[in-house]
Amino acid sequence: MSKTILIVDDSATLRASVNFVLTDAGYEVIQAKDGQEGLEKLEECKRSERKMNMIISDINMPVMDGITFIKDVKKGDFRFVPILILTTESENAKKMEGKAAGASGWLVKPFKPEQLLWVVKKFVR
Amino acid sequence: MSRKSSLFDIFTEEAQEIGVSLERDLLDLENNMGDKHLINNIFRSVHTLKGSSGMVGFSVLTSFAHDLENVLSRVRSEELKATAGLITMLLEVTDLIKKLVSTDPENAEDEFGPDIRRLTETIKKYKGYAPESTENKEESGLDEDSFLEKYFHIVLKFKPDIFVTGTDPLMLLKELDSIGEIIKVKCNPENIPNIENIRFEKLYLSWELVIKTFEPKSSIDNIFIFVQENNTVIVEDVSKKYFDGVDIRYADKKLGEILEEEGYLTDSDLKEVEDSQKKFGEILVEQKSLDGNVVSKVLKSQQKSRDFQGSHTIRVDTEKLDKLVNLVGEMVIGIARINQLVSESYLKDRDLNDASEHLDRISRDVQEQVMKARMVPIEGTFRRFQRVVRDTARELDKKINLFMTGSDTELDKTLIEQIDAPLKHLIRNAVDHGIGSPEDRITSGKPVEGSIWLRAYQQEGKIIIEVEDDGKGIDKRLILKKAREKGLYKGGDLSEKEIMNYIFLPGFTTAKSVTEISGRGVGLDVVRKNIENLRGSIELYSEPERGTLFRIMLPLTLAIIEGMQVSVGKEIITVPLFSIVEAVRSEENIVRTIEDKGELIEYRGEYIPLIRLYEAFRFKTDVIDPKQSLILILDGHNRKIALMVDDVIGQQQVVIKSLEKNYKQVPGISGATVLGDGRISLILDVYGLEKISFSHLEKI
Repeated sequence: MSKTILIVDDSATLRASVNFVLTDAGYEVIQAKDGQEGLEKLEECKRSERKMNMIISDINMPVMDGITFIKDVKKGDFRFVPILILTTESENAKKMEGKAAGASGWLVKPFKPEQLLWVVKKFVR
Repeated sequence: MSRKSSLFDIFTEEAQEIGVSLERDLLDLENNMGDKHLINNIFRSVHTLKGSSGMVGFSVLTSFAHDLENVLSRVRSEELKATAGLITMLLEVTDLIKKLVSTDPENAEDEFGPDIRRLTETIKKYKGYAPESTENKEESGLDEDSFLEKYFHIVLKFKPDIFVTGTDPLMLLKELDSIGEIIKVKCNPENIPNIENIRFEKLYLSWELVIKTFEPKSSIDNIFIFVQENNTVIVEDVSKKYFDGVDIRYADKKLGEILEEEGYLTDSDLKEVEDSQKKFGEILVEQKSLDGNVVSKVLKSQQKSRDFQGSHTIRVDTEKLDKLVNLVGEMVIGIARINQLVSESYLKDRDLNDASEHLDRISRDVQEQVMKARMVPIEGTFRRFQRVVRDTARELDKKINLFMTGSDTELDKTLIEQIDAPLKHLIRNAVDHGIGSPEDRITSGKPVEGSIWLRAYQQEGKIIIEVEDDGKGIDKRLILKKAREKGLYKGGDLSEKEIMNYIFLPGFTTAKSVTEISGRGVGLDVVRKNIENLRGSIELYSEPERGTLFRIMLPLTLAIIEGMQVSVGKEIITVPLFSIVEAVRSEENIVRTIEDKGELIEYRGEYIPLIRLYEAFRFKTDVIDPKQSLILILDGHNRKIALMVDDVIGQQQVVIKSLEKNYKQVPGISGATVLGDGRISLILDVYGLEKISFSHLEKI
């Protein structure tokens, strides 16, 4: 069965890139445009008893930012799912904040497809 | 989403949206300087743009957005104050960004190089000396600290008689499961004896497992605290083995090298990674250089017809929609025809009747939904006007607030496109001529800041758009004077509406001087013409010193109208229902003939001009006595007109077929349609008819 990865980012371009790269590598990708929608997608997965193998999340998003999102995930049924945060180099403080909230790693935007795949493969086994 | 769509298309669309929201937020910020929420939104827009453009390798834009982000981050941290100057600069930057995203990144430098450099310089002034941070430049990290999750390798070998002590190893495993995720488990069955030797009270199994958890090692030790003696329980932190030092910079190295360097991977891990290396190899060969530009190209070639998940909108060619609208229109007519045949049929089959009526209802619903697919909120247009008002007002040194209501009102896409220019004209007019200079306003006892209201709403099956200002207003006497000068006014009493009507005539202006802003040779006559081409109308209300209100009325859609079918001799004419005020039949002679004015009828205390339709179109009919005819009272150009026809036949929705496309334009006729019974009916153009009927009598 293919592994499922949730990508949470307000940028359609970023979501599409991640989607293209990961679906091509055989992963199932679910997209959400902010933390709120991310939680909703997780809730849907829970209802349909679908497994989530990894979450990739942006930090700076409208409605619900990445930090709040991660904190909420860490409270729920998917708390063991590894979370990778997407940052930009200017967001060093955010990176640390994300780490404290429970993220397992980070990737700096913009990234190359093989970088993404490399990290994802480390997380999803 | 069409197959042609690519990552870059998605980016362009996103970037354009960002441009729009940036502009909106900046304009809002100007009115609420220091609004944290808005500043945050603006920051995020730029931030997203930077990330997205980076992903598609649009480096010119990325570095531009990066500089901008630095300035905004200073504004956000209140190091820098949001001033009108800064906002003007940012708006200029937004304009450039909008232009940039619609260019090919490769030409961006050539086309906008000077602009970019100039603005980058300006940005840098605001940026202050924010040094480029060189530290923490690593592209990604999975270092030890970044892992709160720990991985433990646990070996469990219990004594065979563990059950005797009342300990159930299953409970221990379950407990372990509750503090984390067991990602690997191996049960060793080697010690199971032959079946004749198995004793049910003995445990022969041992386990080896890996758990991923947030808990410290002590939590695991606690679980096995009662079995540690006499049993073999080995808990080892293997987090390093799982994730240590996965620096993404390794991605550029050969995997083999990394594995050698690290040298800790187990056989199975190695195999797994070797597999992935193979895939990497393929990717690397395919792409050779690996920047974002290449990525987008590769992705273009990759995307066979991949659905873009998570998107709730698809883009459809308007031409396709138009065709659909037309076909559905035909279908509705066809079904109406079947419906009519069924109801007239001698069969009088009730079931057939019901089924046909049901079909009729559904087809109308389908039609409505299809029409809705063409509807777009007017918000985008309104937002642009915010900018128009701001820029024009600044140019003229006026202070003007624009208030918008009903921006969620939906209009047919074609209408939105066509209404843009006339509306812009009205708004520029309001800013330039309507609202006076701050000094004038103070003298008139008005607040220094002028107000312009832009409203959109639906009323009685029409879309109404209003532009109102609280400015100088238009003096009726001035209009009359001007009309007299131009030889347009020939005396007599005129209603207020009629006087105001003069302003829509070509070359008619009361403005004392032609200014930069609105004196561009396009007058209100063009505005009116544009609106009438959309089968709409425009009204003007004004009072000196109080303000001016332009009200535009538009049909909901351009393709279909609700019409009343009337007969004149053998002809059937469809009169748009929205033009009809009332239908009257009178036994008395209500027609009066007045020299120079033609025939008039008395209608609710006022005299309104009468048009005999058979005369206007030279149709043959036997009904020429107004007492035996039906008289329709119609909304004409800012006045009512009466239309004499033989009789009314019915009322139905009709799909407008252009005469121009199939024949040629005919004055007084806006198109033709096929009725339910298959007959052809011409659709009346009320304004056009008014024009041809009265042009010899007066100028309107």
